[in-house]
Parts: sequence; structure tokens; C-alpha cells
Amino acid sequence: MKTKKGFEMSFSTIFALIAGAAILFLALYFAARFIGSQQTRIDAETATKLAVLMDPLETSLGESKSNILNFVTETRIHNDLCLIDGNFGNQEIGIASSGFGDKWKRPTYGKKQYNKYIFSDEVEEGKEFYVFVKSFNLPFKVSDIFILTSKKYCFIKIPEGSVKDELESLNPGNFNFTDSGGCAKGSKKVCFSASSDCDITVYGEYGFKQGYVSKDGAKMEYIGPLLYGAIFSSPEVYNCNVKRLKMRTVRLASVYKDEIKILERASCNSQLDAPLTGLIALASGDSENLALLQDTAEEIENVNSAAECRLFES
Amino acid sequence: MKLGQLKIQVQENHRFLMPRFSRQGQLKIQEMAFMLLAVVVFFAIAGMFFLVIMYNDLIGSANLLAKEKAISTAVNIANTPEFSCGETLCIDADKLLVMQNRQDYEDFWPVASIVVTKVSRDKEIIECTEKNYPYCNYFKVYDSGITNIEMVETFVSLCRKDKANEYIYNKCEIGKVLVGFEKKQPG
Repeated sequence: MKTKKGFEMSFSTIFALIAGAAILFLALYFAARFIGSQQTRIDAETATKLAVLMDPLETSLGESKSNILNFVTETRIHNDLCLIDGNFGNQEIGIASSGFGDKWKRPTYGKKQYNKYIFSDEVEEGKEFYVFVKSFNLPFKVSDIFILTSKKYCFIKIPEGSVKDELESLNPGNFNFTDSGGCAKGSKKVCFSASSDCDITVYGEYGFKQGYVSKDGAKMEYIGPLLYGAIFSSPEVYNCNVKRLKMRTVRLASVYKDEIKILERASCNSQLDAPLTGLIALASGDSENLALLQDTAEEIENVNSAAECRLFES
Repeated sequence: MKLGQLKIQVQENHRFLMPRFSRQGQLKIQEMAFMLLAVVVFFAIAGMFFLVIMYNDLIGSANLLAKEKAISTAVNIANTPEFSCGETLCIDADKLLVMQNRQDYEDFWPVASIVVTKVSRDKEIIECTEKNYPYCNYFKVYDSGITNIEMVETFVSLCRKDKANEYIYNKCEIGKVLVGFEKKQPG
């Protein structure tokens, strides 16, 4: 006769096992959720702090500054939310930190920024981010433009002049200059004349004061320091920020027009009312012709600098 | 048996006997159920305490960030083209008058309020308008309408164009920038 050997467990043991497993599962689930939400919180804080950290970099007049932002872990800065609605348009910067393995968490965006113009690729990745700031004048200061990069750039055969001097002085550590074409592996090649094997090509006039930049199959027209914006940012971010800068120009020109009325009371007369109206019309129009805007700005600058009572300093 | 009382007969079918629990086993299950309930209640209360602490900490962080933003805005406001007189740490009072309660700049400022005052011995606050300018000392540039605000302040040069002996010059005084930020309260 066969002996039937069974595994006997008391009810309390089964009950304890099931309850223990449920408690353990719930504890692990909530711990994972908590870690996830903490990471999201840190990313949101970082996105907000990034805006605060950029404030001291703002310039007073015609200056430029550069700095390096260091992150503890590999981080992605998302600059893909740029809108041109309202009076100024806005930009939102998202932060995503690396998760387990090669996975990246979804970016957490900070507050909408109406008074910052950040030029970068849509996603910048790394531990070290290089920032430099240039004042954008038309002819009065419109705003500072922030250039944010994490990649290495190699400038090939950059002609002697203000652009080379400026890039060399601003170099936050990721620029390399060469005349021979020997660039470090992985760096983006920037050429200042038509040449093959270039990631970015700059075509300029009047010592690169205006022209256009060819990048990712797109042509980005620039004037003045927007050259750096065009080199270092994606066409989408660049075009959005240029539109936002034009919106700010319209508002500022309107402020100056109102200031003329106040200054007249102190017998300080200005001839800039009509040229400012022209600038407002140009900047608020759909025309993408930045060179025309530059010409009008130069006219305003000439009238202002010749006046006894200057409306603005530039 | 009394008269008129029905006799209820319960027929027992012995083929389908009801399961019989021991009283000791029932007591054990009850003990465990209560224990499990106690554990759940304990974790729920502990979790709620934890969430309250975390929420307060989150509000603390948000307030600190808002304060940092307000400080950096106050420090850099003199560099903003809407206020700058063209020199470092210098605000153009003529521009302030123009910028007061400007509708198109409503969403522009990343803070709750911006006020600029002249630093003088006069204790009376005279809000600047187009009528009384420049004989005033208080420019209310922006007010979001938020009531629960905390202020941070910094000193700047406050300059305006003036004319003396047919010569136009920048008349500068000491000014104070007060930037308000919303202070969030827990609960």
C-alpha cells in the first residue's frame, strides 16, 4: 500500500504568509512611487533653480559673460517648449535625470519664462553645461540672449575679427579653433565658408554682422549676436526666440515712445517718435527680413546719438 | 407545550452536514483580522504623518525658490531694459513712470510685485503719477494682486533727466527696489 505524505500548514501560517506578502508588496510599491515622485520633485526644483542661476549672468550694457553649470548626475535639459503667444511669448525649460539603466525619465518643466531667451538644441545632455550670454540691441538693449550648450564645437578657419575674438574670450571650455580641419571626434564642425564635411556653415556679410547660418538643412537668418543663437540652437528654437525678441522690441519701442512724452516736460525733446513707430511696424510685421530691422535700428541709433537729450544709452 | 403553540420541527438531513468550526480556531482568525486591521491603520496613520511632513517640506522648498527668484530679480532689475538708465545698478525714473501698471507687461515679471521708492527723509509716501512727477517718492510698477507676499529689497541709483542752465543732465538719487514674492502657507 502506498503511503501518502502531504505537506501540512496551519491556517495561521498561510494567513501570515499572504498578509506578509501583501504588506511587503505594498511597501515596495509605495517606496518605488515615493522615489519616483522625489526625483520628479528634484527635477522641478532644478528647472526652477536653472532660471534663478541664469539671472546673475544678465548683463547691463553690451557685455558678455560665460559660465559652466555642473550637475551631479547625467542630465538632459529640454528646450522644446517655446511659444509665441501673448505679448512676449514664453519658454519652458525641462529637466530629466537618468533613471535605471539607459532609461531617461520624462522631463519636468519649470515655470513659463517670459523674460529669458535661451538658445540651445531641443535636448542638451551631459553633466556639464556651458552658458554664455550676449546683449542683443536694436539699437537699445532688447534683452540678453542665453546660449546653452553641452556639446563640443570645433570652429574651422574662422576669420580674424570680432567674431573670433569674441568666441575666444567667451570660450567656456567646449570650443576648439583650428585652421587645418583637425577636429576632436564627436565635436560639431562649424565652418565660416562653404565647405563639405561641416555640420554648421556660416555665411556672413560686413564682418559677419549679418548673414545666415545653414544647419540641419535649414537656413537661419541672423543679425549681430543672433549669430551665436543660430550656431548653437536648433532651427525651431532659434526661429521661436527671434520672434519673441521681435515681440519684446515692439513693447520696448512703445515704452520709449511713452517716455518721450515724459522727457518733453523736462525740455528734453526727441526726434525718435516716428522712427520708433517704423521699428514697431517692422518688428510686429510678418517679414522675416532681419537686415531691414537692423537698418532701421541703425537709423534710430544715429538720431539718438546726435541728440542733445538721448532717449537711451547703447 | 402550551395550547395553541405550534411545534416547529427542524428536520436534519444527515447527508449534508454543516461544517463545524472549533471555537478556538474562530478566535484565532478574529485575532489575526484585528491584528491585520491594526497594522493597516498603523501604516495609514504613519503614511499620513509622512505625507504632511513631505507637503510642508515641499512648500518650504517652493517658498525658498520663490525667495531666491525674488532676490535675483531685485538685484538684476536695474539691468532690465525696461528700467535701466544705461549704467550699472541704475534705474531710470522716467521709465518707471511709464512702466507703472502697464497692462501689456502683466504676465512678464516672474514675481508678485515690484515697487521702487526714493530714499529720503520724507516719511510721507507720495505715489507717483503723471501729474505729480517728479515731486513724489513711490513707484508702484507691478502688483499681481496676490495678498500673501513677502518683500526683499535692494538699493539702486534712481536717475531722471533734468535741465539746469540750459544743460540737460542725469539727476540721481538713492532708490530702493522692493520685490514681493508669494509666500505659500501649508494647509
